[in-house]
Amino acid sequence: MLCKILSNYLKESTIKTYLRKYRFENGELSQQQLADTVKVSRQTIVAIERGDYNLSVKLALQLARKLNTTVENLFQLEEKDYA
Amino acid sequence: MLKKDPIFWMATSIFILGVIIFGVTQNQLWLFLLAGSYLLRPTLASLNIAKSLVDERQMSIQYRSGNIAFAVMIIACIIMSVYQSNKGDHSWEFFNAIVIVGLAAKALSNVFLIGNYRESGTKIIMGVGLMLVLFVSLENGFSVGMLIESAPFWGIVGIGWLSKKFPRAIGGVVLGITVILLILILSKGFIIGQIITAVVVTVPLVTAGVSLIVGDRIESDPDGETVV
Repeated sequence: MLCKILSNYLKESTIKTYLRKYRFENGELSQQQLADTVKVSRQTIVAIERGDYNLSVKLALQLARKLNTTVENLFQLEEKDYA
Repeated sequence: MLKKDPIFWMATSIFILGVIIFGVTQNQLWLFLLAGSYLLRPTLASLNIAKSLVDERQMSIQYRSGNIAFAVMIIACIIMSVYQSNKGDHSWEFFNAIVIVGLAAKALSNVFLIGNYRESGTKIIMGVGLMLVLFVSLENGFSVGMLIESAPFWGIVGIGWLSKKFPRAIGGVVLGITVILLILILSKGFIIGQIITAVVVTVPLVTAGVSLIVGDRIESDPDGETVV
């Protein structure tokens, strides 16, 4: 019970992310390199890739620009969450 | 890994300063500087200072942990207040004051962040008035005496209601009343209890007065609905 509450508390995102895929398609960028270009910590990139963090629109746009794609390609909401 | 940016060096300096002064004076109160060094980064970021030096996820974590810490501190203060009160120790009033100051600070910063100043100003004045009426009612019970004694506070509620129609004028009146209250409170002695009372009474009223004069950052549509 406590574990479930804690896990729900820590995991805030239901967004599907393709960040890792696009990172590799763009010259196999490391998490640290990507983090440095958008001025966040590596832990933030890790959390986004794991779906543990709902990032801001600003950061989503910055990541999309750096990875030569669109925000919608990078992040998708699960169907049930559109309602 | 620690990020060695200007905030890191500032926090480290405060930490070292605290330890050195404690070492020299042997006064443990200087160790509170260590808390200052720990809270420097989130505080600066929350105040929009040096925001570029704080990662957005770190800020999100700071907001959430800050809310938990705030709730824990309020509960701890309430427990200490009840404990000291049961012992007949009047220091419970300090814990009480901390709870009120903390809640007032949260409410007032919410008002500023929402940006709906005039509506909030009205709510603050009416809230302060109703709270004072409630205190009088609890002290005297429902009686004619209570009605007479609470009349001035119903006046404050009325001023709050009028501020919807004449925000700037009422804002000025509220600031005037605040100055008079401040003089009355502090004329009874410049001691910690009076200073706390002055802060608790005047900060919401000054905020309300200024909010009414400044006006809204959020526009209203013709039907009177607030549009964010």
